[in-house]
Amino acid sequence: MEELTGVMPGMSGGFSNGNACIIFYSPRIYGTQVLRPYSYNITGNTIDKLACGGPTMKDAISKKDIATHPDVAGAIQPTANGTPLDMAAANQSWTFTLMVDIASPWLAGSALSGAQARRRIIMSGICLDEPVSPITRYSGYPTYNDDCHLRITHASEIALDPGVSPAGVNTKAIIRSDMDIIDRSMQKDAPEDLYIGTPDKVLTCNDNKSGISTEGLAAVTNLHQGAGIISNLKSPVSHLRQLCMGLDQQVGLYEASGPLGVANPITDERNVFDVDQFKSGVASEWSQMSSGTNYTTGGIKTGQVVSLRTLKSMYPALTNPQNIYKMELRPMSDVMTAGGVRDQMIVDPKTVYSSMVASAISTLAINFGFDLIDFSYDSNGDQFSGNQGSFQVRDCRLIMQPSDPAAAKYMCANALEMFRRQLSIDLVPTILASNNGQFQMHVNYVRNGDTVVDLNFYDWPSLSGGVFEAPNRISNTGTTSVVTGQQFIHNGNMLDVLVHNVYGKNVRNQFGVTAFGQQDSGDLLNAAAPEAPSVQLF
Amino acid sequence: MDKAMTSENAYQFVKSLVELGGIYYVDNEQIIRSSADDSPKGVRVGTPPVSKPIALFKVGMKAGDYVALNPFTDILGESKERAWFTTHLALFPGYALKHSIYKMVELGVSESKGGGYKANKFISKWIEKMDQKLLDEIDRIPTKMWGVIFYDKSKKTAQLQCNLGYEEFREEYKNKVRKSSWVILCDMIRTFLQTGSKKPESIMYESILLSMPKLDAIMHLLVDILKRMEVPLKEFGEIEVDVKTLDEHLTHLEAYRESLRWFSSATTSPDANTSGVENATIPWSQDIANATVGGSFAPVTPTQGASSSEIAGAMPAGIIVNENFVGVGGVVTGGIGGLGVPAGGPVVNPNFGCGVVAGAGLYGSPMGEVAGAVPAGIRPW
Repeated sequence: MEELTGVMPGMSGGFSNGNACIIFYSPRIYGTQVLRPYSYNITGNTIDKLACGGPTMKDAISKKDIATHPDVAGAIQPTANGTPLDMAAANQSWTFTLMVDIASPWLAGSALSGAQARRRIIMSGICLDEPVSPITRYSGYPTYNDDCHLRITHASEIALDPGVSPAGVNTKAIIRSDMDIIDRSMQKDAPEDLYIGTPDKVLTCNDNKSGISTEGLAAVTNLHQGAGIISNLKSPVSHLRQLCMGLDQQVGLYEASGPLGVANPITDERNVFDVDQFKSGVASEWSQMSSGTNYTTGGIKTGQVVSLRTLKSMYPALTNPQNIYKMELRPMSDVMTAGGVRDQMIVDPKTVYSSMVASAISTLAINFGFDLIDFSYDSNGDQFSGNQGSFQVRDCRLIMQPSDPAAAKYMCANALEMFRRQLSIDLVPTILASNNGQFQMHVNYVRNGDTVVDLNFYDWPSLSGGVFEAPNRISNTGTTSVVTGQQFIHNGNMLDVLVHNVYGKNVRNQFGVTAFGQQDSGDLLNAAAPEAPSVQLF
Repeated sequence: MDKAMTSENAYQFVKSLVELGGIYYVDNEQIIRSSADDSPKGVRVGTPPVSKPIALFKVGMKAGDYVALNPFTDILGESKERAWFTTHLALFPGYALKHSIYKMVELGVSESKGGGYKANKFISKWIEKMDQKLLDEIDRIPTKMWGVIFYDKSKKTAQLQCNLGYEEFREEYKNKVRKSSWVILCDMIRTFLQTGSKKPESIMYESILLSMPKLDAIMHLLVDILKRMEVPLKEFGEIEVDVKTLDEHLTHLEAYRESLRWFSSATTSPDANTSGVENATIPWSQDIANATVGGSFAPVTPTQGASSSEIAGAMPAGIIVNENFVGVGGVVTGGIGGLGVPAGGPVVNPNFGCGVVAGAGLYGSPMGEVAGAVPAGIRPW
C-alpha cells in the first residue's frame, strides 16, 4: 500500500496520525426538505419469492431474477406523501465538518508491530451558536468561538486495517461505521410526531390491537440523546437484505438445534410454538444491524452536543489555528439561485425517486470511500453489448486517497467498479420496479456539501425540470428511518406479516405442527386446509 | 375512446368512482369532500389516532397532512382509506336503487295531480299501486338494505345482495311496511336491475385478476349494476354515469395498478390485518394472501338463492367494524364509513340521506350513531 501522507483541506487525502481539523461553513439556504421514509410494501409474492426462492432468504435475494422481481425490488419504497421539515432554523445555522485521524498499535509485540490500524473519523452537523466572531469573520485571522456547541448529525469511521497474510501485511480500507444521528431537535421542525422507524423498533413497538403500544421507546421527542441509525438502511436492497439476514439467523437458530438437537429455551417444545419469542429474536437481530444509541467514536459521544473547547482538549491538533477553517458559502447554491431546484413537496415519480437516490447514494458513496463522486447512469444502457446500464463518471475523489497519482488512480478505479456494481444491485432495480420505465440520472455527491440528483424517466418527459438538492452536512433530513405515527404502524404491520409468515413456514411447520397446532407426521405442505366458511370478509 | 394506460387515466377512473352519485367530490388539492357541506372525508390514523382527510392520489399533488388514497395496491393488510373506498363502492347500488325508486314513486304519486308521467314505461307498470304510503315505506328502509356488494375472498367473487327479499328482514319491518309493498318493491328492483325473474343475487362477478381480485370484482360488479340501471338512474335519479368510459377503464385495471406502483401510501393498520399464528401456519402451499391477511370469516354464505337465515351476520365488502371515520356531521362511531350522511344540500338531492351506519353487520345489531347528526337510516328524504 502506498504510504498516505498529508491531509487536504477538503478532508480527503492522506492519513496523518493525531491530525484533526474542522471546517465551519457559513449558513446556506435550502428549500423545504421532505422526509420520505421507506415504507414496506409486502405482497404475497414478496413473501413467496423470498421465503421459497432459496435455502435461505439471503440466498433468495442474491438471485438476480428474484432481486429484480417487481414485488421484491419494490418491497421497500419511499413513501409518496412525505413529511415536510421546516428548514428555517437550519438555513440560519452554521454547519461543520470534523475530521480526526487516529492510529492504534496493531499486532504489538510481533515482528509486524510496525503496522498500525489507521482510523479516520469524520463527523458533520450543525453549530448551535456562531462559531466565528462576527467582528473578525471577514478578516484574515478570524476568531473562533470555543463555546460554540456542535450537534452531530452524521458520523463515519473509515479504517485502514492491516491484514496479515503469507505475503506480509496487506492494508485494506474498511468503512467501520456510517450513521445518521437523530435527536429530539428534529421534532421541532416537523408538523407531526416523528418516530425512529428502524425495523427492530417498528416490529417490537407495534401492537396488533392498539397500534404503537410503547411509542415512548421510539418517539423522537423522547430521545434523551441522539440515536444513531446505520446508514446502510438508506439503500433499499441493502435494507431488505438486512431484514432477510435477521430472519435467516433466527430461523437458523431454530434449525440448528431442532427437534433432534440440543434442547434450549428457544427449542423447548413449550416455547417453539410461541411466535412472540421468535419475533423478539428477529427484532434483536435487526436491532444489531440497524441502530445504536450513545455511540462513541473517537472519544466523542455522537448523541450529545459537544463544544469546540471540548474538542480542542480531546484533539490538541485543533488548537493549531491552521487546522480550523472557515468556509464562506454563497447564500444559495448555483442551481437554487437559478431557480433550478425542484420543489420536494411535489408528489411525482421524479421527486419521490430522486429523494431515494439522494439518500441511497450518500451511503453507497461512503461505503466505497468516496468523498466526491459525479456520475451519470442510464438504465437503457447498451443492450447490444449486453450491458444493463451505462455508467459514466465525470469526477471522483476518495476520502483516503494516496498521494501517489498512480496508486490513487488504481484505488479510484477499483472503488468505481465496485460502486457501479452496487448501484446496479441496490438502487436500479428499485427504481425500475416502480414501473416508470427506463431512466437516466446524473448525480453529484459531495460528502461535505450537497447531493444533487437529476433523475429523468424516459416515459415521463412532462416531469423534467428542476434538480433535487439535499444537504449532506445536515444529513438527518435525508434519513429514511424517521417516520410518522401512521408510517410507523404501517411498517410494523408489514414486518409483522413478514415475520409471522417466515415463522409459519420455517419454524412451526418444521417442528411438525399443523395449522391448528396438532402434531402431524404427514406431509405438511400438502396437508389439507381446514374447512373454512366460504365467505371471508376483510 | 381509447384509454391510455397512464396514471392520469387511473386517477380519472378512481375520481369518477369517488364522485359517483354526487355524494363526494375531489377538490383542487385532491381532498375528498362531502358535497353536502364541503367537509373533508377523513379517517383516524396514527397514534394516538387523529383525523386526517383522505386525498386522492394524483401525479404532481403536494405533500401534506392527509392520507393518500391509492386503491390500486395489493400489499398485504388493509388500510382505512382503501376500506372506505371499497365500502363506498359496495354501498352505492343500495343508494342508487333506493334513490331512483323513491323518485319514481314520487313522480307516480304526483301523477294524480296531473304530473303527466303515466306514459313512462316504468311508472306505468306500477302506477296503480303507487301511493303516499309506499313512498313513506321506501323512506323507512335503510339504504344498505336495498343493495350491497359482498366479496367472497375464497372464490374471488363479488355478488350483489338485496335484503328486501328476505323474510328475516321483512319480519323486522312488519309494522313499518305493508306485505303487499314488499312484492312491489322487489319487482321494481328486479326490473331496474334487469334480472327478469331472478333474484338480484344472480348478479355476480368472479375476478380474473390475481393481483387485486377484490377491487377488480367489486368494480366490475358495480359497473355492471350501473350499466343495468343506466336508464332509471338517469330518468329518475338524475344521476348520469358514463358507463361506457367506466367499462373501458375496467379493461386497464392491471395496467393502472402497475402505473401506480410507485405511489406508496404506507397506511395499513394492524387492526385491519389479522396476521397471527393461526393464519401464518396455514400450510405453505395454500394461497399466501389468504394465509396472511385473513380477516374474519363470515359465518354463512350468501349465495344465490340463499334463505334469509343464511345471510345473518354477514357484512358487505369493505365494511369496517368498530372503526371511527370522520364523516359529514362528525365522527361516525362504531359504524361504517360508507356514503356518509349528507346533511345539507348534496348535488343530487338536498335531503337525501344514505344513512349507511351500522354497528356490526346487517342484522342483529342496532344502528350506529353519527355524533352530532341525524340518526342514520331514518332520515327523511
